Amino acid sequence: MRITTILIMMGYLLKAQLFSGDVSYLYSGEQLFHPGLKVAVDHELFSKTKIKGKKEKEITKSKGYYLFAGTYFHAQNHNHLFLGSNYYFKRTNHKGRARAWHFGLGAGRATFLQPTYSFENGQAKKHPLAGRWTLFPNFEYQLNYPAHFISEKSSIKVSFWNQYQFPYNNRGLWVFGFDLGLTLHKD
Amino acid sequence: MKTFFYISSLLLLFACNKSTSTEDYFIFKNNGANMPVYVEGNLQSDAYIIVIHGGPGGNGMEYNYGKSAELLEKEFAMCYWDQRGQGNSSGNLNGTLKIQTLADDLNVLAQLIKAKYGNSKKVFILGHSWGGTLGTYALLNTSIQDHINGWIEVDGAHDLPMLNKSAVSMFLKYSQQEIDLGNNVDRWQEILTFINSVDSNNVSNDESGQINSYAFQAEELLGLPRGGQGVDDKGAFNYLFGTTNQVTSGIQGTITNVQLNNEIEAFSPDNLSDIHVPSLILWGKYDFVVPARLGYTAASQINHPDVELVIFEQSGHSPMDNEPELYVQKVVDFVNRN
Repeated sequence: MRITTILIMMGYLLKAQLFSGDVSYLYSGEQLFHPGLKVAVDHELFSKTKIKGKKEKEITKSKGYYLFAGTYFHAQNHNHLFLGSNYYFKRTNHKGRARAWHFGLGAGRATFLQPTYSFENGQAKKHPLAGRWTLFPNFEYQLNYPAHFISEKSSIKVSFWNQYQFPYNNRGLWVFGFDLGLTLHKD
Repeated sequence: MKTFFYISSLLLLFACNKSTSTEDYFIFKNNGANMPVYVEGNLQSDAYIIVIHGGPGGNGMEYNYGKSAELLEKEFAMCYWDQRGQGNSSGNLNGTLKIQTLADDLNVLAQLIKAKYGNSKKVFILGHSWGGTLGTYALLNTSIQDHINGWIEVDGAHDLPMLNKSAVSMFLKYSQQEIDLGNNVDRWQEILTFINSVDSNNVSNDESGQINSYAFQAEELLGLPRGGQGVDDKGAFNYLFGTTNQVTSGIQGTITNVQLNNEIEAFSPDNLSDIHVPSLILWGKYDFVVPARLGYTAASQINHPDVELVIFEQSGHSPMDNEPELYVQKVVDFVNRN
């Protein structure tokens, strides 16, 4: 499973390079307490930017639409591969600090890390790669801080997010959490 | 880019390290639900005990903490199962939740344990609180009696109307007694005032909920000993960051509780004599949540020569918490002789 996960991660890196998207490496606290690791790629489809204010204190306002794909790995539980698209509204100050609101829709497949069995015809039947499919409306509030000590094209990302994953049991599952990590920007 | 890749890979390697405490962990797939089963303890043992957790709305791993769990795991393989719609269970259940569905899950799980670990293994089911309701329901409404070696009921709520009636009687007796002794007079008086307003022959769902709340408070007021159960023993960190997502478990458990509530409140079987497997009935004398009268009833009606009733003199709703050594000793003796 470790090797598989690392291969998946390498795949995302290659994909990121191909599409020249932003790549994020994040600690992700699903439901705040459930820690995992998230690797995500954002590929912007369009954006519009306005610059306001004087040069020394200019503020950049942008909005756009992007595709995202990634994986969330939670040891002893599941590996969640997801993709979707978000709209965003972003405000960046003259120091490069940004805050943004993102909302959109995604879909994912959570694969259980543990073996899955059913009881059929008197035997324990193993189900490889068992898991669950979900759709999720997504809302995210992001903060980005320049991380020039790493590179000119990187930032520290803090994100608070809400998803309603469904179907889940008889209804859906409200999932909230936060991400903290690095984003490597395409430009 | 390379640097970040290496750092992340290292982090992933650490993240993947499996906890040594989980000896076998699998997902039990049945009828649209994916239910975690954490098998811990002595997997070489001939006996596997399926723990039916309380609630509805609890989770299997709540019973993995504390001294009693530690001692039992030395002897047997303990199977901590998250019931459908609770704990870390997931799936697309696509229908109204019924006790029968959960009972069918339990029946199939008992057979799966044998198929997975060997048909020579002895399988026992141990139900606490709501787990006692579900266990009793499964014994009476599925074929599980053909697949298990024994039934262990711990303060099981297998008859809600009787439970409510008995709880009212207990509160009347003990609240007056404590008031007369001058112990926590204000709080016992509050309980007594409420209990006096309840018609024990016609307890509403709201009143039943309030009785349940006061029942846990009563155990605190009586100052029953705590023998080492609870999350403190393995640490709050493990509880919060461990395998079970407590927030998800809480949200899903509440939904499941509401869905099953009416059916549970009406559950009052008159055919306990149809249970014909060896049974160990364990009850706390001061259990206001599920009074011991239910234990006496079960022990007198179950139709098997090996039925043992044990009343724990210093326990409330959870004798595994109040008197863990005696609790473990009784379970070990019962399992070993069956």
